[in-house]
Amino acid sequence: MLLEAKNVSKIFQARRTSRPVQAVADASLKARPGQFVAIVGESGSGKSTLARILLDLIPATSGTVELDGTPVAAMTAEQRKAYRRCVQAVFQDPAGSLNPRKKVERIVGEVIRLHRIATTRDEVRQKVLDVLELVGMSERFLERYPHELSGGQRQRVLIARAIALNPRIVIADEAVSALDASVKAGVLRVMADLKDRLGVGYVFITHDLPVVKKVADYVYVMRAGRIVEEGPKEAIFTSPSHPYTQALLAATLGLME
Amino acid sequence: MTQQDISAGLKAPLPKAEPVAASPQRSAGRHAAWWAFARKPSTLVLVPLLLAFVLVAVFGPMFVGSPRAAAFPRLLPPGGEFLLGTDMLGRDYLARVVHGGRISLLVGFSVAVLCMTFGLVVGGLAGYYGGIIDLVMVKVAEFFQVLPGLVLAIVAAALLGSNVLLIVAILAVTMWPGVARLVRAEAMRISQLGYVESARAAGFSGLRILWSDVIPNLMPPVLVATTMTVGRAILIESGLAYIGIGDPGNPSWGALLNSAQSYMRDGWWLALFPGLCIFVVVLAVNILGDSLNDSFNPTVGRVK
Amino acid sequence: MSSQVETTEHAAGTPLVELENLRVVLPTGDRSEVEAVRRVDLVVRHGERVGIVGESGSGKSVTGRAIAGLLPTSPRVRVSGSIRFDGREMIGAPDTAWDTIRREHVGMIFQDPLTFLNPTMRIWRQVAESIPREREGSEAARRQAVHRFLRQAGLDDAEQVAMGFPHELSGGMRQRVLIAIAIAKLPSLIIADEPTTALDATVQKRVLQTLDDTVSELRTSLILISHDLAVVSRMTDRIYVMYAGRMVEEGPTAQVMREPRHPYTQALLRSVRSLIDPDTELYSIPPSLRRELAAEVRDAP
Repeated sequence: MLLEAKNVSKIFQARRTSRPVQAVADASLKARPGQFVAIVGESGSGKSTLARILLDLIPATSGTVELDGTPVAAMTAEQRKAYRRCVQAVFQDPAGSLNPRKKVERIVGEVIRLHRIATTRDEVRQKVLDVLELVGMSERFLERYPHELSGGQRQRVLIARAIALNPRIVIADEAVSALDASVKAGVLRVMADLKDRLGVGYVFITHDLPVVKKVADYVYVMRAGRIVEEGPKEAIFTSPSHPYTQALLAATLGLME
Repeated sequence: MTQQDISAGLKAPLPKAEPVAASPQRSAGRHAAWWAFARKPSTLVLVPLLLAFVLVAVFGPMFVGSPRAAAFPRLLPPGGEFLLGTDMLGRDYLARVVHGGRISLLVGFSVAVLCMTFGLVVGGLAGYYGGIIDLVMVKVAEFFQVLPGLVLAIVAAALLGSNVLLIVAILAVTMWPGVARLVRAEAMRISQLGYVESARAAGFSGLRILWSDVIPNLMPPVLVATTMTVGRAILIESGLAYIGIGDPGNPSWGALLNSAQSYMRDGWWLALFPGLCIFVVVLAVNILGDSLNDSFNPTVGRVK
Repeated sequence: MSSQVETTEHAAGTPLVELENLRVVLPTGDRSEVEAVRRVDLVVRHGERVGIVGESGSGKSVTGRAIAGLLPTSPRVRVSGSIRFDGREMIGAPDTAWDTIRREHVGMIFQDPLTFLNPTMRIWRQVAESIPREREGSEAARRQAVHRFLRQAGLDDAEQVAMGFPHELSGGMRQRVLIAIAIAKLPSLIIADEPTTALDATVQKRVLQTLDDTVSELRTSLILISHDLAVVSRMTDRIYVMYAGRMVEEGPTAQVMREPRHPYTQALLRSVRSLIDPDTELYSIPPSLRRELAAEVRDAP
């Protein structure tokens, strides 16, 4: 299976102010199940916009997003729904990433019900439990509300909800950036384990280079809406060719030993 | 790609998530606000009080005499056989006030419910979808907002005759844009939040998201506004009745007040009782709305 | 980056801030409360750079705010123990004393500049407000001072920035404005709470460099609070490690990083290293260790 963005561009037209903003310019990328693809860039690089275009949340101004050759824009409503099952999203967790009025069981369960992964109440509950276990959360979390969870736990719930649909690719936008070191390591481990075990592929969007170096297979570097460099992780980190990539790498802080 | 993978995934252990210790947080959050509200002394006094009014309004007419029978001596002061006295035509005033309560409360609550419904629909659609829908909805709301309510009431009454339903309709029509405005602002704010975007990414339809994610989370301020609307509707209706717009056969408290004008000296109770009822109900409803607001927006510093 | 302890007008090495047995209880809901800071001892000397490291909920931010007297003013917030500023006991001191401290001696730099800066006020006014009354000269003199501080905080385009509004600046520039506001009062202490967490890596590096340079130039003391071990380890002489409201380890930064003694510090370092080292498996603090730590914190005197 191949998820591909071909020459995608996005121009935002603000209503009252004059100048249109080009958030993404001619970006092309490929993602496959089982592969950890990272999109690296700073704020304003357009990486989040690109992510949302891949997720069919924003339409591209030009270019296409294709799944196994079929453009998403040309899909029927049914095909779109199947697409969403296949390509899931995990966003960052500031407060507001989960509906404060829904318990964990419902948050994960409603997605399962929507895509008819399970139908009866018991089946759905069992599926929710299975998936929570996959992210290392026990049964006691079913009845919790978001405000009763820590940041890392909320992030895991977001991952669980995405995984519950058996997606082939998960697009994670700054999913671990706000977490403390230990929690970050824990969540990344969950993600890596899911990749190994379920064959899920990731499109991992972040400005956090050390994390990319640790978990990614293939890296795209974005700046001002363009992909300025791409390549396998080792190549990017040991011999970056583009000056921007070099600057980014130079800015990586290391631990003073 | 289905059960297989998931069960295979269950085999090896994963980093476990630590449970939040003993969750003192359990009581914080949305439900805590309701409990806090329920525990307030003002709530404990006023809710039963309002309930009492409602019960009397609903069931009272079955137990009192006729409000229309002009069968008794005129202008008897309260006491004895006639708890609230009789009016200028010799009608049992208790019966009149009780029936009047039915009308006033009916108007108050139905207008509030109608405003909330219209407000949620229009404001919700506008706030969530934005774009053309927002533009259209805002224009519609603005149109109704600038309608001169009083003139509308007078003209409508003249053309269609005054009856309670008409009053309710007119009030609802002029008051709903205020609620819609509030709903729209909240819906816009909530639509930016992560869980709405996640819901879209999961494949839920817009209407489903509106119903299940957006509206439940904007209810607190809407409930406060709706509570206030009850009071305002009753007051406005009383005002309309005061200037003669209202159902002559079914006088509300305001209408009773109107008739009581000329009898301030000889029949002071004719103005006192309906006036007192209006005052108490509106005050109670306002205090409840205010305290509901306080419960949902506490000002004690909550630090991480 | 330098980490020298320089002499100041005050005798070098004398304590500027001393916390003894500090305890802070905060409300967390209608009926519940939490002991955010449990019996913490801490010392910052003149000209010294101290780091406080911990995860969210460790109490590090609350400690920082307690030192500045910026805890919420609800009656349910309880502070006990001792906070001494230049020898003067601040707990129980009148509000005016706290105001003086905040206005003249302590500069605070918070994580989120947008909420800290007034969106409707031009930058130069917000920096100017920070300059204490006695030093106010003519308006022209004040503006000059503002430009000077902005430049010192790393904003070369001082005149232009000064005339602008917060929303016109990038995140890094806003953070530098906060630095300017903090140094404009010529403080003896700067407390920076997660100053660069919200910024991109390149900007982060530059802002930290700016902070480092400024602190060296002005010879102020620095309390740097962060969950990011890399940041704290590069900028401080001494480090305190907090967990669940308690100080679990303390010592010279280099030494703590090299030979951590407390299990939490060890686990934290292991976790941080696992994120960077390609050959190490990702390590997160296991629940069993957390339970042990929680018990230790609870049972400690």
